[in-house]
Amino acid sequence: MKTYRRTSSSSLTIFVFSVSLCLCGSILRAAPVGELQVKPAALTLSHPRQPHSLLVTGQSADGLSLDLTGQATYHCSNENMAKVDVLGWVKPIATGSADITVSAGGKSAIVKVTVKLPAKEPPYSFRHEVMPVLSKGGCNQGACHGYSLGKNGFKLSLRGADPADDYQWLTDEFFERRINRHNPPASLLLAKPLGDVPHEGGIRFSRDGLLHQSLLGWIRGGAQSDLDNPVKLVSLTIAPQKVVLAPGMQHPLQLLARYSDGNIRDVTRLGIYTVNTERVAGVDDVGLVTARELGETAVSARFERIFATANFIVLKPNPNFKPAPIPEDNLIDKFVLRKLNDLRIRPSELADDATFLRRLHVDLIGVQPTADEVLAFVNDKAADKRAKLVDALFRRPEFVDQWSLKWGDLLQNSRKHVSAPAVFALREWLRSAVASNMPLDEFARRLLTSRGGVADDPASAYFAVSKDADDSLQRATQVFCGVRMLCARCHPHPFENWTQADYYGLHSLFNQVAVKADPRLPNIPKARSILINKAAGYSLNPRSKQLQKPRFLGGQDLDLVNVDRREAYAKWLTSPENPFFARSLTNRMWSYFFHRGIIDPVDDIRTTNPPVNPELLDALTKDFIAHKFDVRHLMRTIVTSRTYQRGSIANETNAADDMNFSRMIPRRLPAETLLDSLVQATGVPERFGGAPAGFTAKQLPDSEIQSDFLNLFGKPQRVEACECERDDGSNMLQALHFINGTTIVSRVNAANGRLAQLLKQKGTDDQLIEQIYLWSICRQPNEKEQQVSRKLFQTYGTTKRTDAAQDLMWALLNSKDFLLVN
Amino acid sequence: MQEDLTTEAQRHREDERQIREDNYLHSDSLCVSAPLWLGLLAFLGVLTVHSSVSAAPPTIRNLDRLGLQTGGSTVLTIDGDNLLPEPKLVLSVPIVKQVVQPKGTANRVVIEVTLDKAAIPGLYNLRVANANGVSAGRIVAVDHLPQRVWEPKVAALPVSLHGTLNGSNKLTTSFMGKAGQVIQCEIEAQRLGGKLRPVLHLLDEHGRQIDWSLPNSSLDGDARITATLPADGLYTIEVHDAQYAAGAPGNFRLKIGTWQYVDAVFPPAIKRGQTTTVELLGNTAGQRVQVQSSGDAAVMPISWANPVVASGLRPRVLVSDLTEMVEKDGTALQEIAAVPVAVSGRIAKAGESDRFRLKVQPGAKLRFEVFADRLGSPMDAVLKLQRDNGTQLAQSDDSPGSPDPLLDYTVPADVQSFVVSVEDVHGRGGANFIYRVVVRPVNGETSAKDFRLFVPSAEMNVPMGGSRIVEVDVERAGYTGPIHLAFAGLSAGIQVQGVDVPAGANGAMLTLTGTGAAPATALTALRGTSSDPKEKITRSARERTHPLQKLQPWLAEELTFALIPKEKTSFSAQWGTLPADTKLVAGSSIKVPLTFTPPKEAHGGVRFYLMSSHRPPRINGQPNTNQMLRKDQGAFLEVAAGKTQGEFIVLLPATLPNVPQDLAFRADLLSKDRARVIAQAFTPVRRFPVLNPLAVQLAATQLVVPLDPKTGADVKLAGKIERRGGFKGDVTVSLTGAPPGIAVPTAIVKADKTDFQLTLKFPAAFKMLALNKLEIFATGKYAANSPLLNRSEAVAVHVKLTEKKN
Repeated sequence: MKTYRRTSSSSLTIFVFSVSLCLCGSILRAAPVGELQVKPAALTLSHPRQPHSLLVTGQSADGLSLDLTGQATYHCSNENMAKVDVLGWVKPIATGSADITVSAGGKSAIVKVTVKLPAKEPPYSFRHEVMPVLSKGGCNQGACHGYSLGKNGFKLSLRGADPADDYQWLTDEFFERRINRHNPPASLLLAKPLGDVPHEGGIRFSRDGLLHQSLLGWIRGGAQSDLDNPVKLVSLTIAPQKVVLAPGMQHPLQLLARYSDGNIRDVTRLGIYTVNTERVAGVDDVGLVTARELGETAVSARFERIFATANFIVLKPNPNFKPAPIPEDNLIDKFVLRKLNDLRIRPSELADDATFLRRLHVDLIGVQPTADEVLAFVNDKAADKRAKLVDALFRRPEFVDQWSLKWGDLLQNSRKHVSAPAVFALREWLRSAVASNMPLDEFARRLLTSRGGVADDPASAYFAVSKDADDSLQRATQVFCGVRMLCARCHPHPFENWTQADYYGLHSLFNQVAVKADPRLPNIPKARSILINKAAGYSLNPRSKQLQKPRFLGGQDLDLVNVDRREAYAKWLTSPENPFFARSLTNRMWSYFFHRGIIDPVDDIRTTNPPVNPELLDALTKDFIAHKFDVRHLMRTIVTSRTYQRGSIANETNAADDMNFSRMIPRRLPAETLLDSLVQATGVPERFGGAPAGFTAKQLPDSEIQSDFLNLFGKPQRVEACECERDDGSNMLQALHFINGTTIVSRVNAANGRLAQLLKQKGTDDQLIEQIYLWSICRQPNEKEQQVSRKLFQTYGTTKRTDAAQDLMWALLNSKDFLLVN
Repeated sequence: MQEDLTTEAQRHREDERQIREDNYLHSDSLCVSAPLWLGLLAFLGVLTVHSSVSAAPPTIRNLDRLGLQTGGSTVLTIDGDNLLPEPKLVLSVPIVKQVVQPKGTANRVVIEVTLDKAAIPGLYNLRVANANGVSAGRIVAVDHLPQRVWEPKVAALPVSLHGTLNGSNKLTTSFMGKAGQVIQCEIEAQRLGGKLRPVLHLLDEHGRQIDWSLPNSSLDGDARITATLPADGLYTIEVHDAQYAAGAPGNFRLKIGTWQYVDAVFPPAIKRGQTTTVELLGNTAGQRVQVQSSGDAAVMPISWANPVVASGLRPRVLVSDLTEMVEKDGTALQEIAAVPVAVSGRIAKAGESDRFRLKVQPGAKLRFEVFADRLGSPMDAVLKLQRDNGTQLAQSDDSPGSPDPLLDYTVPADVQSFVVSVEDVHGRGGANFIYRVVVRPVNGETSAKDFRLFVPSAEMNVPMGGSRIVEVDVERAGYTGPIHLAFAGLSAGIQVQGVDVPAGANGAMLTLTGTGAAPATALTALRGTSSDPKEKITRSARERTHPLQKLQPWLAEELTFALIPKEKTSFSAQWGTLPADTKLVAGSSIKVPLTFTPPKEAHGGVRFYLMSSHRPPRINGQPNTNQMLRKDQGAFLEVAAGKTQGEFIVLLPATLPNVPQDLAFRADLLSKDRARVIAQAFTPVRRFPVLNPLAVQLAATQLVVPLDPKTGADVKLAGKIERRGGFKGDVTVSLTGAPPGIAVPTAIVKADKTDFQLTLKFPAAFKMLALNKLEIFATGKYAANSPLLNRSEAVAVHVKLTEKKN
């Protein structure tokens, strides 16, 4: 059987392909089940230089995606109209129509081809043919001529952001030295990337390849400009969008560009491909994806300034897998299980009561349960006790502590930025918002339209934190849209279609904010009052040198005159139709209960970072909006799902899965939760110098209170509006601190601490052991643990019972059962 | 309605009369007990000429309730010192009965107080008096609410709960509420002189927050919630400090229930001598009262609409001598009278801008001052001046330390009227967004002239047969003339000396002498009156640190006297012999001989401290020591035991203003180990004229000099230096007011010379022909090591340049 692969300039790809053939020959030779899929099913060709590929796929018996493009044979009914090569590329010859018969695996399909060629071959388009070549060749990337100062005297706009400038630089600069109109093949623009003359960037084009031919043709045609060409790229689609492979398998991509005149162009060979998780898969420069290890990754393609992504899942064939039944009564479990079934993953069992209790306490109120709470919950026979626990925890004062802490971190409420009265006022405002369950749309609206000093409006401290309008827009988009706009301040965003026009459009929405010293807090450093200058003009786009009209994220230019433009922004942002707000906040809230967001990182949402389960995110978002942005409803929905309640012990199908929520991934307790839980377990409070007396770690107003413990365990400093500021990682210093530091030892040994109180109670060793377990790791010891502990007490003897108890508690507090939430 | 207003006005006048009658309380059983009161006297700033060991007056350290109920009894526990014997409350509201509970101690007494039900709700000074004097005041509220110490659960509403919060503590209390019930919760802490910055939370029985409040600038930093309860059930109020760091005293009271309050009135100012109707702004639903301004006060309390159910700060109104206008709501552009004028207005709706057209004189220098925050308005006002065509001329937002705008503006030559606009800088509005704009000339005859008087303490305990000195500070604002001081309602048993503040002086010292034979206590006021019949200004002295001096200034002006028994032990201090014509020579020093008569049992020597009426300029809030009267070395003069006289060398700053200064000395009699002061005495107050040791005399003060069109002109200003009061050194002569581009000449006159000549060189092209701003002055050091230069009075010289024709 003949097999063919798509032409690749990379010999490495051929090598990898050869290897993969050996590895997965059995899969590739497997006959597809069901229909042969050919994309597109019908084809219209209208440009003599724009051939179109056929993507031939099928599905194996065990559900894997099969690429049959290379195996297929192609036959055109009229080769005077169109020709098709062995790789499935259809090239137009003359106006007319033909049928192409595609055969593979004993099956066949017919693709109808219509050719409508113009009477005369159109000239090369600078915008649509030359600019993509400069991007594909890497000429305009940041490391080359797209660098802000260019390279070696030659500058291009970064990633083709400004075709007009590029045309000018290519054709006019240095007396047109880069273009040889008399002898086009000798043009410096060709000689450099072909390696005919020294080029620091090396050889970028293959001679007579597509890139070379495109540039040469354009120069031969007089290097014409078509910058005024109204036809624009509208969208980019990638096929297939969801692929399931086994390790070693390969799959090609097909990239189609749709233009404003309706033309659809196959730009597969001009796309620029990247893969998010290279451990899982690799992609070559013509869009051929090679599966590597088990897992899941997105493969992104960029053409001109638009991105498209495909989802690749790599899993082991499991013909014996039995899909789990899909529950229809819980939107989370429904979509999670659908995805797990696709992945041939069986979810872990539900966690036991004690584990669930501790997890929910840690996640909802930021402190583990007490011994009494554990026993009461475990012994409670009510069927709905888990659901009732959620509402009980909502009423706990620590719930306010926990969630106002998270918002305080995100909103950067810190004396680094604003006055002490402002920090406490915003803190109180956040606490009140949490305590009254303020809907998140109102929450955002009130923050984003706040003005005055903190005595006028405590939420105004949000803007007082910002250094300038740049800071305000970046913070607002990152927190409330999950989008990072910093890159677009200086150049087009490298991973998203945000331009400087988008950036300065947002800038114009925030540039009316002015700041004055708060007259009601005279002589207090950093006391600020927020003013709105409705007469402020629009912001200057440094690239276009024009004033940029306000523009919502992904929207059109707006005229907003003599109004507080933030109000328009807040209205747009919190609209149920907004594509970012509810979705990003739903995703962010989700991440607080799992080890990651459905999109992760939660504040880097972009086309090239797609959700691992888009249906789940869409459904949760829709539900969140339907419930009027009620965050407690969202939390309740999440924590009452079976997905949240699953245990962390893996089975044979989900051990490698860490992103589809098939089990709970153990996480280290956040710094404040760790310390507050330690205090509760040992009964010895922490005293923070400079903080109000009696404050717990979660209640601290900001990170200006010095605490070696909290710093070591990653408490954020509130200098960025990014979840990444919190470090939940583990390191050797933390371990040494727990093992050797006084944080645990002094508490365990404290004369008035928990252990001392337990020792005073009259009871057996077994009872004492159980209490130590309950207070330390919130569960009763199992039989083996009980035996080991009992032996420890016996070894120490009655005279050293205190030492035994202290050692046991110390050991438990150093165990993963305490450090992690399972 | 008119009848109601008249009734209210009559009621108000009756209230005022009642207060005046009740201001005089008499103690009938005074005796001397505790011996340690000297340190307290220093704190009070009250001095005696003949003084020694004496019983200390009472002090209040804490009250368990900061409120008294009208028409009912309140049991008040007072913690303090020296409270016995026979303590009585001193209060400017009618006390029907006060009964001291048995088993009281010097540190704690319990008094059951019954107030007249007609007592006017508001805040008052409460003091404790006994035979040894009267204590410093504490602010207490008076209203109809039951006054209870803090309790975790309230049985019935309304109620006023009294508590204390320090540091990061929280307090909670609960009450039963009904669905639909409107509940007011209000903290009075800052307004009662406390340090708590209160935050209030109202929670339902599930712990869910119904409402909350941060400290509110319109409530002077206190907090209030008005909420409609969503359901029947138990509600909880939580109180804590805004930064969880409440300072001491952390006393406060929490009112729960419903009552009538007034946060401000509109218009906020009325014309003196007129009867005006004002609107009460609060939960009074547009109620109005008629106000008859009387007396000299700049701020006066006005009546409640319904005193029976009222609580909180007494409504107040400014009393103005200006033309007072009120914004006509809805009028686009309102004409206002010529300056000086004041306009009161209200930004009733969000985004509103009130606009007034003001006719002005081109070139006039005007001051525009907006009062909003200072009136209790939530406004952060911004003031704009525009031409009639809308072109903006000037804008002011804040002034130092205040959100209220202040703008000094010189009217352009081509402007005869402009539009004054006022708005909230944040575009907000509402019924209580009131303001008042005052427009005055900055200088000239029509400028505002005013002064303020301050005393260090509102309590004066004067022993029979002894004397005390009251230091009076004067802050002048335009008025520089003499001020006559007089106490109102002073007991017949006290005489006052030194009742005039000299023209230009910023301080004076009064001597009070107890001439009566029976102990007494009285509320009074110290009033200063200008001597200029054209500019009759009367102001009351106030305690500078009184917490309500801005909100309820009449409370800060309430002073108290107590005539206390004669001291047992005598110790006196006197001036030694000084020539009758002694003057204070600025920049020099003066040796003051002092004598004293220690009691026989004294073995520790005497320390003398200087007191003076001179108030030096301040730097960062502290007196500039280089410009103050002070001792040559250290703070005091110590005379060893066994001696009866000493010599105090007073350094006189070179910048000492040329107005008479009062001086006196305090003498501390020390114990044998010199660690304690066992008695104090004071010399009489003496007033000295001040002499500037440098003077300039010009040969001519009018010069006419030809200006040569080719060579210009040299103007020679000649004269003599007069050295007085022993001044001997070199002197530098120079001038001010030279036109731009003309070099300023200086001349050094050696110690043995007196003549000088300054030459001003004018170029040929000089255009200004009349020079009317030239002033000649001399500077020099009286003593070589003096930190400051003496400077003579400036002498004006007028030079006219004439064009010389060739």
